Amino acid sequence: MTTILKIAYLLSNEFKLEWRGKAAINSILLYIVSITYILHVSFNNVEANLWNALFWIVITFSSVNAVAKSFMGMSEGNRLYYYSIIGPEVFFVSKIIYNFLLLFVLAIITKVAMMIFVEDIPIKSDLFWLSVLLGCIGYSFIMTMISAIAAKAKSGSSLMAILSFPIIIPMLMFLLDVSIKGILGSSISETSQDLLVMSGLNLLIFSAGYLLFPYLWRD
Amino acid sequence: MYSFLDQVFASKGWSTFLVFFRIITIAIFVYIVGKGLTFDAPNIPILEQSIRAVIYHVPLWIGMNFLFLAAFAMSIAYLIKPRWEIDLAIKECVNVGLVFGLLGFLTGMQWAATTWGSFLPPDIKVKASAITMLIYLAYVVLRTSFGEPAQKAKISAVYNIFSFVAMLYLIWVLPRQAESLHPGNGGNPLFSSNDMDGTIKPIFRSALLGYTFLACWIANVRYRLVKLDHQIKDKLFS
Repeated sequence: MTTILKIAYLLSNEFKLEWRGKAAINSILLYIVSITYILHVSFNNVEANLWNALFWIVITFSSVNAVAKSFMGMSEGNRLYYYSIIGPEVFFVSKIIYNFLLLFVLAIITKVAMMIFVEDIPIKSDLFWLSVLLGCIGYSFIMTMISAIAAKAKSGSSLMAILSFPIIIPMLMFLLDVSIKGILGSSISETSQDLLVMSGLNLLIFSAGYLLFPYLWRD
Repeated sequence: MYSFLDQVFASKGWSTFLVFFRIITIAIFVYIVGKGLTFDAPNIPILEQSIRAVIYHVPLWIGMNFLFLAAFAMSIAYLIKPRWEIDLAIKECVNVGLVFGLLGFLTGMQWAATTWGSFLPPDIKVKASAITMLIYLAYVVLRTSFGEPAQKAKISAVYNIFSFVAMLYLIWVLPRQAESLHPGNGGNPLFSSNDMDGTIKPIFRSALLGYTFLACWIANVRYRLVKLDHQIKDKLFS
């Protein structure tokens, strides 16, 4: 099987598993809606800067929960099976793509929820969605890698939060900067410098994770 | 590879080198402290007399960087061929590096308070170094959450490599992109003859060397202590 076919097969597997046991995604959706309701109760008048910051905070915390279950469901025999038949790199890439799609869907749902509950801030440029896309890619890289590390440990999801937050912070700094520009109306060409830096950071994290993942999976 | 290094480290030549190394470190520190407290500092725009802080602020960070580089190299060596001593050494390098980084951060805060009025100026390098410290503190937390030593060592070696790459990006690449108070970043010129003339340069350069040597010395002592403790506990004397 070629690599693309393997990745497509693994992705379809993940979607089927998710569809059968909907508990995980329902819990994340409930989490997002609950947080946005708390925001609705707490804030009266939300301007663009604050809305942007709250949006990214909700996405950050829900992404930690969403990706935490990535590597936890499998038994030892299952893992060894996948490792020998498919190989660790392909497995890792398929997890990353699945988590990215999941996070992007969650980001859209968060945007809709915040539009309903908090404030309907008009988004003036495509730059906002481009930053959401790049942010979800970056979050997926980081969270998948950290979830692989934390899956072996006993403490579970609290360890994942501790490990991921320092690495998330620089990405979050850039995302906040670029997405507020997107909401307020800058075009993509004006912020190309920041976007390049963000893409560079994504690429760096992905290459580090890609090289290191097989070592994590040798067990 | 390891048997060769074992022979080197057990030899008499290495122990005489270590003695010279420690004497040189002490000599450098006597020089830095003596000359550093008494020299005439030039008055530089904005910084004025607080340029004196460069003698201890920058070398502390350089010491931390060097220790984390050593931890990175040892993590790669551990992944290639696992040995429990390397794992202990990585842990001690990160511990001592964190202490040096904390001191560098505190001295930076002190410098900023006297020069610019606030403890944490809105500077990208300050934020990036805080994030680096958090990443390595998370490394220490990661080590505590594993029971089995081999698994702990392997996974923490992987995380160490990851966090060193992140540190390189955060401290060296990122500040050049954004505006910054630090020299060499964000549109400021690098350290040049405008900032430091002949009076401060020899003190600064020997301080860089001295603090790095001190960091290695402290990490070495801690490593030997922890290794002996481990050997006594597990009765591993060969």
